[in-house]
Amino acid sequence: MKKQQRKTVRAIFEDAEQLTLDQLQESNILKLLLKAEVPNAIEYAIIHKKTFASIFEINSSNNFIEIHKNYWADALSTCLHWYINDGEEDYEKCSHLTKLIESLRIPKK
Amino acid sequence: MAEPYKAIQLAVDSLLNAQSTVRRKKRTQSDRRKECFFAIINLLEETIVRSNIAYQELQIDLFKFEDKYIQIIDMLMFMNFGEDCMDMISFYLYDRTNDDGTINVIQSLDGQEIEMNNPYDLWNVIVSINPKIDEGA
Repeated sequence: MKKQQRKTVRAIFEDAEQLTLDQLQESNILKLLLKAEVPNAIEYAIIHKKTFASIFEINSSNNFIEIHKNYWADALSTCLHWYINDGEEDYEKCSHLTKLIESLRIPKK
Repeated sequence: MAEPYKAIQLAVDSLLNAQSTVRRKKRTQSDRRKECFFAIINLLEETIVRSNIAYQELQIDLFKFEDKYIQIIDMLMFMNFGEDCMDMISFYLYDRTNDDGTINVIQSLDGQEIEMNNPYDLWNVIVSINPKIDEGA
């Protein structure tokens, strides 16, 4: 059977090189993208024993935003915080994220 | 690090409260094949639309002029992808859309209707017909 692969999403930024940090930080679209993709990317990276989780590709530049495994728990905690605060009441997702975070915080022997 | 995207990286760090990096990855042969395929299909579609407009609005028949080039491209694709995939490519280019803008769908062997809206969908269909295409065969 062919190994299932995750296709990293491609985020399209118009005038990517001209965008300022303030514009990007205030972008709700970027936040929604991270909220949706970070848990998937990290879960895939855990299952496939990767060192980096590939979150998204910037335009079609072949440049990828990635997160090292040392920061996976922090990134997932932020996503969990978003899921709770955005009032979506997605208990299943929150429970799944909590389990993922706990699994990352258990020291490996 | 690719500096042009520094602002995006910093925004991600700040939103996530975690450190990210920008990494440039080398394209695989499969990626290159896919990109070439998408470019070819998009260019062919543009050419067909251009010829249609020239014929309908200006009464200029570019089809006669382009016919031999199209035949060459068709034969090269036939040699590369085989008959079944070529049938699918021809359907996508010439028979998929109706004059009123509606889309014709294809039916898989198990009776499922598949709508092809872009070259990515077409690629997935031809890879399902011949998986070796995705491996560079």
